[in-house]
Amino acid sequence: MIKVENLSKKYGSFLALDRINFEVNEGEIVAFLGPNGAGKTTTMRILTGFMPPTEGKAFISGMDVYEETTKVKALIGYLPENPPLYPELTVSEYLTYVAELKKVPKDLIKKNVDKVIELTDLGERKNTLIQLLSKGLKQRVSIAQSIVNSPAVIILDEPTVGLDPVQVVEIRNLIKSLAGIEKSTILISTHLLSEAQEICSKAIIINNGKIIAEDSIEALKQKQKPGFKIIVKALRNHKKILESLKKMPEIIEVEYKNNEDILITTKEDIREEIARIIVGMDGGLIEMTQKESSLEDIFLQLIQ
Amino acid sequence: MFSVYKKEIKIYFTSIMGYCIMGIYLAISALLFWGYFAQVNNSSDFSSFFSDMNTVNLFIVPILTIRLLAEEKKLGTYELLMTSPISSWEIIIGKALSVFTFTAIGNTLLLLYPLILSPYTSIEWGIIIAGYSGILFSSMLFISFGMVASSLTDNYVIAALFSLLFILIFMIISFFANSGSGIINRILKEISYSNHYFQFVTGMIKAENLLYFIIGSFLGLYSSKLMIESRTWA
Repeated sequence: MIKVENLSKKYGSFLALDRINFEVNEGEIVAFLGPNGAGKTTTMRILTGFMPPTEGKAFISGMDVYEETTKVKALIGYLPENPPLYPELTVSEYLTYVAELKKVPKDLIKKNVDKVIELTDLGERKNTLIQLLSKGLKQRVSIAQSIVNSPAVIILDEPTVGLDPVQVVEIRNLIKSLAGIEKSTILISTHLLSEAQEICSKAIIINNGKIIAEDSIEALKQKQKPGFKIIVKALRNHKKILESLKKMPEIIEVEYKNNEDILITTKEDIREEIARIIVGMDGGLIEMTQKESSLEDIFLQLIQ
Repeated sequence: MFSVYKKEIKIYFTSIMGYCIMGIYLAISALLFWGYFAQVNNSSDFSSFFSDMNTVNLFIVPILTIRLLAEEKKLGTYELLMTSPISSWEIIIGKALSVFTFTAIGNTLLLLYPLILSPYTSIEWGIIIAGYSGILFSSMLFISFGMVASSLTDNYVIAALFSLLFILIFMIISFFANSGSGIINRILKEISYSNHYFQFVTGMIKAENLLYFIIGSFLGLYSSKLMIESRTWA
């Protein structure tokens, strides 16, 4: 559905994208992950036809974004980083305008606008001026505009940035429901790993303009350095505990995190033995948990 | 094009800015009308009235045009426009037509003054129609220059200043054009705004003057189109 081949973008002498390649299949929700300034927005702007690449090609539904720009633009729903809203228009006026811009057939405009208003739960606010809406509601309107043309591909640039935690949960649920209802291919750029983990099935990780990983979230998690990570909370005798644990052959690494926490990396699950040692030393064991490998760990591991 | 036009018109007629600008324009016109015709002087010559209102247009139009593209950049809606399947011409013409409609409404309301005066004195409708046409064609030219200025920046003040500067340059040219002879002066005379506009004021509607304003407006709109498309130059 989305295919990028050797895409490069230069701003003057600064190389923002360096021959990147990736593919997103039909119906997938893919996270485009990377720290700020990694090249996420530049890639999205190229994919949506906003700017041309310096080199390489981008395809949407098999069509070259720069050779068949108008056709490609009609297939895409795009939420830029800054919500593209007109404060002087009401929600339904704005969505009708966007539907017209996106060349939705006249007889479908009202139907599509009503549908996205319902999907984004904006029914009670459809006649409210956009300037009077809260930030979360404005973001809902922005997402609504990105799907008003029933696009085959939805590109969302940092959809939850600047929202409060409640609004973040709302918007994430909305995106998940869109994938279910609209059956669209969705590419979401974010620097929030938790967001990618929650919404997406696959992640593409970009750093300094280069793709450093592209796989399913599960596969990426498995790529992490081998070993079990165990966090132990003990009240006393930390020094003695550390020394004893280091002598065990199954232990790879022991790290004293803070007043109570000890982070242990082992070759296998030896929680029972560890518990026995700490209890035997009167260490005041109060908690022991196996640490799930998070996308955050993998991300840090990859960009270092 | 029609969607952009409709949206812009809606904003002009639902925003305080639109009503304020129209209100100021009409208030100035009423003051001028009072100044020219309140005293009994048996004059029904509207040429100076339309000429003065054209000077008011010179300041009003940049205020209307600064927001056309500069505001889209500021609001972030520029990306929405540029990633929609519409052409640069559709955007430019839709926007220019909306401002032209708005200013033309203001310009057309000026015709009420000779109508008010007509029961009391004989009106030279020929001069009025020429003055009215002059102001409409001037508005068209000012709008296209304003659009170029608005495409250059996302800063309203700079856009307004550029717009004024462009118009003033075309006005000032006439000073140089009329200060000598020769081929250069002849060319300057042909591109001078004042030389073409003041023929309307004196009651003449000539094809060459109409052509001047049409070509000038086209060049302004075409430059704006190029500015919009410049982002796609790799």
